[in-house]
Parts: sequence; structure tokens; C-alpha cells
Amino acid sequence: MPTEAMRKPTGSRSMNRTAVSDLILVSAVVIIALVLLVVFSINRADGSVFEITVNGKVYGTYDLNKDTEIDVYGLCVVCVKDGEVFMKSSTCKGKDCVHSKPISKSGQTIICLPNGVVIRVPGESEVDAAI
Amino acid sequence: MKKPLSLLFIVIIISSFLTSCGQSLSRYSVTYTDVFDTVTNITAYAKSQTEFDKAATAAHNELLRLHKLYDIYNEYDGIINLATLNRLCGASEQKVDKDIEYLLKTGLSYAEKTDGKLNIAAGALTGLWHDCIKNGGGLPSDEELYEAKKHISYKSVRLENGALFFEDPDIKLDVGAIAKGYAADRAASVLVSNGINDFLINAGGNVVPHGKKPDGEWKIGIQDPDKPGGQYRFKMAVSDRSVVTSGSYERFFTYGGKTYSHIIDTDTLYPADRYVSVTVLCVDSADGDALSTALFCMSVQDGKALLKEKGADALWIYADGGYEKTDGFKIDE
Ligand SMILES: [Zn+2]
Repeated sequence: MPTEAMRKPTGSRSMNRTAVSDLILVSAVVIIALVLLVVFSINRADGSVFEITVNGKVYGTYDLNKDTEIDVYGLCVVCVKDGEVFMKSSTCKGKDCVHSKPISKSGQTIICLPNGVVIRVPGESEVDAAI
Repeated sequence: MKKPLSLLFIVIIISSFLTSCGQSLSRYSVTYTDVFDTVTNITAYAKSQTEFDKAATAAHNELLRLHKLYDIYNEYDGIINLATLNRLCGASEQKVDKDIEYLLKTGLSYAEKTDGKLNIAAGALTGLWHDCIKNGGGLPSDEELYEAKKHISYKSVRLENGALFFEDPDIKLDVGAIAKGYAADRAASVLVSNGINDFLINAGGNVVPHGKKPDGEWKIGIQDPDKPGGQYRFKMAVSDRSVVTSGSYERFFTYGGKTYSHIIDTDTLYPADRYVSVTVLCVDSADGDALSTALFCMSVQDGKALLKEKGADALWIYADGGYEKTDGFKIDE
């Protein structure tokens, strides 16, 4: 209240100053909002990265759009090609993982049960559980 | 007047951002491969990764504890599990853990109700098939199967006041048909006690939903046996009941070009092949697990009578692609 009373009579100069400080504040808010938006959209981005876990521990996160081969502790080889990821080879007996179709959509997984290896594209798919 | 108003405006924007960040729940998911020889997935809405991790780890520990308790192939230091009991109870009475007692009681009551279609004392028979699958050799011989059949009567299992004894010393218990359902229920209560209320557990076809998704209902996809991996024959929304599937394409083995399910019919002594899958909707996941296994070895008519008793519903899918369901089993059109 006292500052308001003091400022009133000083006229247009202080009005300009108020406008400038408002501008700074508003742009600060806009920048913060943009940063938050970017952070959130990165968190939510799916379909562009995938994650490999071994016995529940994260082995690594990789780009789906970068063709590569990943050797996971000599247990299996994960292959990325043309925006899709699949299990190229595995030391497991049944080879169910190797026979699984390549994945690229959010929520999809390829699992090697005997080796405890899970390849997952993060995010939500059309169903929450497949049985 | 201009400045206080714009300040107020800014404060409102910032505070609404902060509150939305603090209170909104995000979706988290984790997959375990080390319990009950199957894939277990927990998906939940939590305030933070830390909150989710803490709750999921507690649920995982409970699953691991029950996995060891119900393991019939390995014994562990410091606990008396089913493998130990299978070894000892033919010779002398043994005190059993509360979680073993509960599961065996449930199993025995279903054995009574289904006239042994669900039989937790069929370990001599299921073990024979298990060895064949594991060793990749041929099918069990008729002699072996008939010999095993002599030692699978659930009536030889005596469980009184927490003590277990086999009146037939060659009895072997196998709770594989009901353990996952019970374990999924227990994992659900661990998540709740850790402050997580909106989650879905899928323990190898035993789905326990709890609470709801912020943007709708939990959706389940029933896989198409001919197109496994991402193609669904049916989709359905679930909220208050568990969903349990027993399916010959979920865990199976092939021999001589024929596919066999992992559920052994104790009458034919062979893997059951009436259906491709049976899915049961039931309040209690342990009941659902027992029912889906029992229904897998029964006619639809007999199955319906059993379901009525438990207030449960079911969907049967035949090998030729046809299906049958009870009225209470709602699927998306
Ligand atoms: Zn594998």
C-alpha cells in the first residue's frame, strides 16, 4: 500500500518503468512455461526411443531412428533397423524373443524370459494388458 | 491498479503450474521376469518415479517371497516351501506357512467342487510332462502316465490345523494352476498399502485392476491365437473384477508338429485341448485362476454351473475360431 501511494504522483516515467518490469515478468513466465512444456513433452515422447532392462535394471535407452546393434552382456543381440527394434539373436533355449515381431510403437515389448531381458518402447498402447 | 492485477495474474499462472506438477499422477510401468516362470507387468499412476519404484519394489518382493514358497522344483535356505513339503510329507506330518495353508485349502476346495478337474495333488503327472517339455524328448509313455495316475488323488492330502501329511507317500503337490492368481492379489494389496491406488497388475495372464486411469477405463486385449503379439481377438474394459486367462498359446510346447498346452487333463492324462483359451472374470484373482484352469478341462455347460456358484463370468475360444461366453462377460464391439 505505501509504495502504491508513493508512486501515484510521480507520473508517466514510473508508468513506463512498471510496463518494463511487467514485460520482464511476463516474458519470464512465458519462458518458464515453455521450459516446462518442453520437459513434459520429452517425458511423454514415445515411439522415438526404447529401453533395454536386464532383471529389472535399466541397461540403456536408445534411439529407434539410429540403426545399430546392441550386445547385452553376451546374453542377446538387439538390433535397430528402419525405425524398428527386434531381437537378432539370443542364448536362450526357446528363442521366443528372436521369433517376436519387430516393435516400434509405444507400449510394445519384446521379452526374453530365460535371460530376464525386456525391450520396451515407453508410453501407452491401445490396451493396458494383453492376455 | 495495473501492476497488482498483472502480478496477481502471474502468481495465478505460476501457482497453477506448480500445483498441477505436484498433484497430477503420471503413468509408470515395470516388467519382472523372475517370478512364477512368467512375465509380470505392473502399470500404475503415481506422483513420482520414486513413489512408483518404492511401491513396485515392495510388490515385487512379495511376489518373490510367494514364488519361493510355492516353488516345487527348488528348495531354499531358511524356508519350508512346497518342494520341501513334497519331499517330507509322505513320511511325516509337517507344519506349513500360513500362505501355503491358505493356497492349499483353496485348491482342495476347488478339487472337491470340480471332482478333481482342478487338482493340486497331480504333481506326479504334471512333473512327468514338465520333464518332457524341459528335456525336449518324446511324450511320456502310457506306462509312465498310468503309474503317475495312481498317485494323484487329492483325497490323500490331509491338511489339519496348519499341519500337512500325505496318506499316499508318492503324492506331489503342484499349485501352478492357482499360485499366480493368489500372488497377484497379494501384490495388489502391497501396492495399496504403499499409497498406490490406480494400477493394473498382469502376472502371466492374471490381471488385477485397481482404481482407474485418469483418462478412462483399464483396457485388456485378449490375444488372437493365430496372430500373437499385438493383435487382439477381443478388447474389453475392466474395473472391479480380475481377469484370468488360461490359454494354450500362452505357454505351450510342440512335439511332432502338434502344439500342446501346459494344462494337463487329469482324466485323459494328456494336455487339455478342448479350447484355445478360457478367460474368467472374477472378484478374487485366486478364484479366477482356479476357475480358468478347471474350465479349460470341462464342457462349457459344466463350466457355466461352476461359474454361477462363484458369481463369475467366462469367455471360451475354440480352436476353429468360434467362441462362447456368459452374459456378464462384456466385450467391446
Ligand atoms: Zn529369449
